[in-house]
Amino acid sequence: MYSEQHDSEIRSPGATRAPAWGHSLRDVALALWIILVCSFYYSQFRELLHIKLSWLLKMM
Amino acid sequence: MLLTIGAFVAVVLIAVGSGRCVLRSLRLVPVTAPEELLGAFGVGIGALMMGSYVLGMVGLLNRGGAVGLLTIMAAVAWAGLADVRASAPKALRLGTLGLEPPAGVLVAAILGMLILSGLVAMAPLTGSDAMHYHFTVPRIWVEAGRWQPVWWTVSGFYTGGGHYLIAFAMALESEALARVMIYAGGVAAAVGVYLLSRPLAGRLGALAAMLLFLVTPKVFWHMSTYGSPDIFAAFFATLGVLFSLRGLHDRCEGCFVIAGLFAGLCGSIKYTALALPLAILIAIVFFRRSPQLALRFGLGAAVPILLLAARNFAWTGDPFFPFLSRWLLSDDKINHWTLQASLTDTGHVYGRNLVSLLSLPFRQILQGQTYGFGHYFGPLPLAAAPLIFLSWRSSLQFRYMVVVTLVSYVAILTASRWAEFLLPVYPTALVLTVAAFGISRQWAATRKVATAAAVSFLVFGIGADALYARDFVPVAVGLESREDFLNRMAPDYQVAAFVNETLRPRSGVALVFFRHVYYLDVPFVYGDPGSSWLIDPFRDGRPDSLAARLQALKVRWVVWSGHYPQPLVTSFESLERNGWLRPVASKTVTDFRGNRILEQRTAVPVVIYEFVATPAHRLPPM
Repeated sequence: MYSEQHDSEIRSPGATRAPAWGHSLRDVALALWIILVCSFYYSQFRELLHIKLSWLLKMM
Repeated sequence: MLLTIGAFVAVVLIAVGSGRCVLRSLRLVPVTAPEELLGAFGVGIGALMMGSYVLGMVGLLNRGGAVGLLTIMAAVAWAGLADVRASAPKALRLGTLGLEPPAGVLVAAILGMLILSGLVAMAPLTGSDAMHYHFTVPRIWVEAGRWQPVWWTVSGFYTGGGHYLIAFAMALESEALARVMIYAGGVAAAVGVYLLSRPLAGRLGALAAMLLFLVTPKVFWHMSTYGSPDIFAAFFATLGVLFSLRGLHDRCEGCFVIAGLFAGLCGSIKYTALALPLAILIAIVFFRRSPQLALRFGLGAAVPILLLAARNFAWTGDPFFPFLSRWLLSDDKINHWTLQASLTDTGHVYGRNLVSLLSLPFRQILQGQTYGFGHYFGPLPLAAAPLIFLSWRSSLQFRYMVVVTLVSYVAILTASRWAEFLLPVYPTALVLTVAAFGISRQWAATRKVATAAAVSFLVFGIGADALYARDFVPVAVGLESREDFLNRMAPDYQVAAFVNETLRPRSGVALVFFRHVYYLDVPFVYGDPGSSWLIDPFRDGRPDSLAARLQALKVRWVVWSGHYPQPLVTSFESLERNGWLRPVASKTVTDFRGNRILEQRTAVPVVIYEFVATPAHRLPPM
């Protein structure tokens, strides 16, 4: 399970193959999806961050 | 502290040594050395859980019983530790981690996180659910020397394998040992994440997955301060997947039995974790189409699960109390108020329409505060979800883990909407995330954004964990006294301290309505029907029936700490007005308002009443 051969099998270019016509579109869509999820995710911590950072501000 | 660390080292060595003897007797040839060591720890911990179960059953759940159990296991452990005794680093294959710059940085960060979470785990118990039942119910068992139903919290029936381990640690040494054992469960789960990731993501990817797992706020919280054994469900889930994958990959039939045992131990820790053995069973059938292998797995899984179900059946008549009570028990034995509250509390009653179900993965992560703290898992598995499905063809191991993760996730969603219960699914979800990010190299933009997302979460997680830890480190390193720390950080501690101080010299049972009862050391029952099966507002809602219920429970003191439970307010106030409740002491203390993490405190008035149930005090007709 740990062999380098196995690692190279996982990394082989043929491991996943998208159709050529949709390659760029899919790339951009996947990247946008990750950006959107992360943006929404971090935005929910504004209040908590304010509470927690007020301690740091007091220390300064 | 030294005694706790000594006991911890002894327990871990005995668990690993005895577990190794069991694994070697099964001749699981294809299993690698690190897998065998981790599996041995799992077998040893499983033996302690089941041994503790037997001790509780026969009334030997005390220090003598715990030492006896450990001695029996130690007798077989010596042979299993032969190479560890010779050279621990060699036996653990630490050299294979590599220390060149990228790996060295990751290993250093992993060690840093382990030290930080270990330090925080040394702080006294302050977790909310831990102070309500995870530690309180085992403490009651250890004081009694045997298992017994604890009816004042329905959560007492949710206890399982992890709570047997807590009870064992408390009986052997102390609450501190139980906390350190939970921490060890987190470390073991992280190693499991590494071993699962290794063939899918390479060595660096596996180290990154392990680090991401450790910095995840949910994992950090569970390993350090939460005081719940749920992290062992995550550990046994990784072992169940690891060993069943090994069986699948190398056609090792014995691996399926041991994988079944691990999955069963996972399922024995809490009801919702039963989704894992179910998911692995489905994956085995799906990929091997062999009823025999599925049967081997199922037999291994059945043992720990049946032990849990048999206990609850013997106590209540419902093996999964209280969730099957509506069908298995007569109406007069059901507290409908508490049952409904339990269903709501476990997220069982959120909408079941398709839109609600499909939006749940988003809501759990992006509105985590409302959906069982799902945001503490971080955004990565959700961000990687499309990539995971696009990478379906990458390898058999990958597909297998996708099926296990997806089936267990859907099974947990079917039972509950509460993200809190997703911890056992998180290790495989994270492994798939890291593997999918690794496979995304064919998409340049995705690759860059995925790397940035992973690094951002590492920075966010380390920062959040460090900020969280600052409240716990002073007591852990001896800069703050235990009493000062508990006054500052433990919810309801000041109320409990006042009740102890007032009632310790007097006899009689106290009825309390504050949730965090771990530090109470006078006889008590918890009276909020939101969790207590003992008081049913539908039957005991009138002042006279409430008074009769208090008499039946032998209550002598009633502690009002700012509120009575909503459905009982009128009746308790009536008892006060008519002299059945006579104030004997009062004090105003400080306590948290809302979740502790919001750091909002408020003054809470506490009044202790004596319940005077004599014929001279007649209640008015309603």
